[in-house]
Amino acid sequence: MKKEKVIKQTLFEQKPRSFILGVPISIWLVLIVLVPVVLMFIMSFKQKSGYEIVNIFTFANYLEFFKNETYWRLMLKSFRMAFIVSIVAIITGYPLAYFISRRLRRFRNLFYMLIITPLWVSYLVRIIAWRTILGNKGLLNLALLNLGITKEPLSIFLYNQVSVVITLTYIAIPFVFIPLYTALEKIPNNLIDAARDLGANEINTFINVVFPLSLPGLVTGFMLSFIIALGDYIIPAQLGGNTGIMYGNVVWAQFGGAFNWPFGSALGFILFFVAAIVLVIAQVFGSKEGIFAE
Amino acid sequence: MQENKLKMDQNNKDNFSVPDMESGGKTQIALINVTKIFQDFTAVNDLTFEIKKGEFFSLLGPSGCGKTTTLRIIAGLENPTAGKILLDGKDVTNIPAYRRNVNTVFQDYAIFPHMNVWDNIYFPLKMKRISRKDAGLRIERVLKLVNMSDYSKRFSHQLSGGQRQRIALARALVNEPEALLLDEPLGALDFKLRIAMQTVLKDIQKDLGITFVYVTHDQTEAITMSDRIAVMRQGVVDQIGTPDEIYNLPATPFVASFIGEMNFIDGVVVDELAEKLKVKIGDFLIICNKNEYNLHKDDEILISVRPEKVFIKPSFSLTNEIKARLSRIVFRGDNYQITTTFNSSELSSVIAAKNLDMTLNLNELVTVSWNAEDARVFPIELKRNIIKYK
Repeated sequence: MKKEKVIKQTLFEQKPRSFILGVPISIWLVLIVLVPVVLMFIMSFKQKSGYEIVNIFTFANYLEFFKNETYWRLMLKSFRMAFIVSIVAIITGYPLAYFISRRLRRFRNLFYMLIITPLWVSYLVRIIAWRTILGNKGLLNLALLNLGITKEPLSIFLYNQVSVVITLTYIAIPFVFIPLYTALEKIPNNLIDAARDLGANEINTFINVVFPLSLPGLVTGFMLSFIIALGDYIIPAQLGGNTGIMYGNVVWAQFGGAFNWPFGSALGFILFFVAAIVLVIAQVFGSKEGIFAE
Repeated sequence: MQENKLKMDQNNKDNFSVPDMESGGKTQIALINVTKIFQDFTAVNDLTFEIKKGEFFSLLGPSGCGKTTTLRIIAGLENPTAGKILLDGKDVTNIPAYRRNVNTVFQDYAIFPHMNVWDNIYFPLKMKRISRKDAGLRIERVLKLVNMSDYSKRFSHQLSGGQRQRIALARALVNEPEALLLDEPLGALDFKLRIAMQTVLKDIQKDLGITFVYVTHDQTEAITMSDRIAVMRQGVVDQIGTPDEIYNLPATPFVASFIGEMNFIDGVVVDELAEKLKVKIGDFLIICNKNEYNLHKDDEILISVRPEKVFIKPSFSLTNEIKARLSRIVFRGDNYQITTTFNSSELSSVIAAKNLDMTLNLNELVTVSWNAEDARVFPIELKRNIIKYK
């Protein structure tokens, strides 16, 4: 009897308290995340008429996307570009994260800070900086001219898909680096020791132990980079020229010049759903979360 | 002991042929003048000893004494700053860990968390390019050896500490190494499980006849399991010997204080006899046996004697007798610890509960006695190495 009472009491004491603790975050989630998204979702079923948005319920905006080849072709292209960006960012970011987290003893924090400092600089400034690198009178052309590799400045670096991919990759690298660094740093040294003790040389240790254990970080990095690249419209607008346009630019145009908020919302949601599917697949195949939980 | 060490030093200075030690058995592992310095800290200082084939050899010492570093040097996970390591007579000093035929059981097991038990044990075989099919039988056998046959599909986080321990053992044994190195393998287990695993380890060692090098800070573990023990202190070996030698003839006050309980008494040599020393402790004169320290008249000395060798009010006659005041009686289950005081020194004695047939009163003046051969004498300078637990 007495025991039962005690259990009941503790349950009573714990339940309301943990509920109260969850309230602020729930309000925050609803207000900042859920409400705007729901509003946009409702918007995507409305209709533009002249310069007004009419309150009727229609699937026309969604149908328009599938009817008009331009939109889904642009989406495929954006996916392709975001994919390339993420892969290149991982190929560049992985050795960096590996070296700094597992090889460097001193200055590890310094290098870490150096890599994430660009995040403190304005997005636009960093984009313009790449214009001064890739442009006709930019650093790259200057270097090529002075080295005698080319006779005239090359215009192939700027205002096309290449410049967009290069700049997006640059933007994405810190976002790939951070989760990779964290995952690699978390690998206990004694697992590396064990691998070597059991007959694995450096390469085999990396292939069989380090790389598989860094996979969760790699997937997180890939997803962050993919999301950043997929939705971006500033970089294509600034550096893309005619050929470098991405899906984000079209969405942006609906809210700007075209003044078609319902269609813009619909385009946005289509991207959202397709991206969500891709990310869930990546999560399922790559992530082994809580691998060190013991 | 000392003599043996010297002999070995001379033999190993110039050539690698390590002579067998007196009790027979081939040398499996030899360390020759091995030193390891980390930045400004000397972890291992000029270590020379050898481990025989099939032997259960323990490296025993308090934390920070260099025992784990020594083990890692043997494994090849640490490069010595100076000195040589021989495995089966071959110099392996510059051979990396993955090409040495010794395997390690790590302190926290180091089971790969992304592989199941089977794949963990397959790992060392995979590194030898043995196919999964050919490995099956060997893995089955080694799983059976550690009594874990039903767990091959489990992952590390689905196993208890003791089970992980067994898997780590199986993984280290599947390659049939020349020697198995164990780094405090039972340290993380609770008391009862530790005792059970001690038996498992000892049985496996006996069955396979593999050399075990066992690092521990637990003196009971070392004494119950080992064939020989090296007691380490601050990067040097104070004594190498059988558990019996280590316990009954400790080479230094450090060894004496680290293993079991020990009384230490300060004294001064007042006279030298043929094989004996006449020593003054407080107001009393006692007799001690001479030993390798060659102590002489007027030397200040430290005397050590085990509590179980100190008798209170004995009905029989012993070499040394003093009068002391009884200051404390502690019941410890199967025995009593009785503390007596004389001239501001304390002496404790341990008497089996069933043997305590007299009445003892606190503050009573009693006869305390022990035999000369149960005490050891050391120069007083070594007193600073006594381990004090605070």
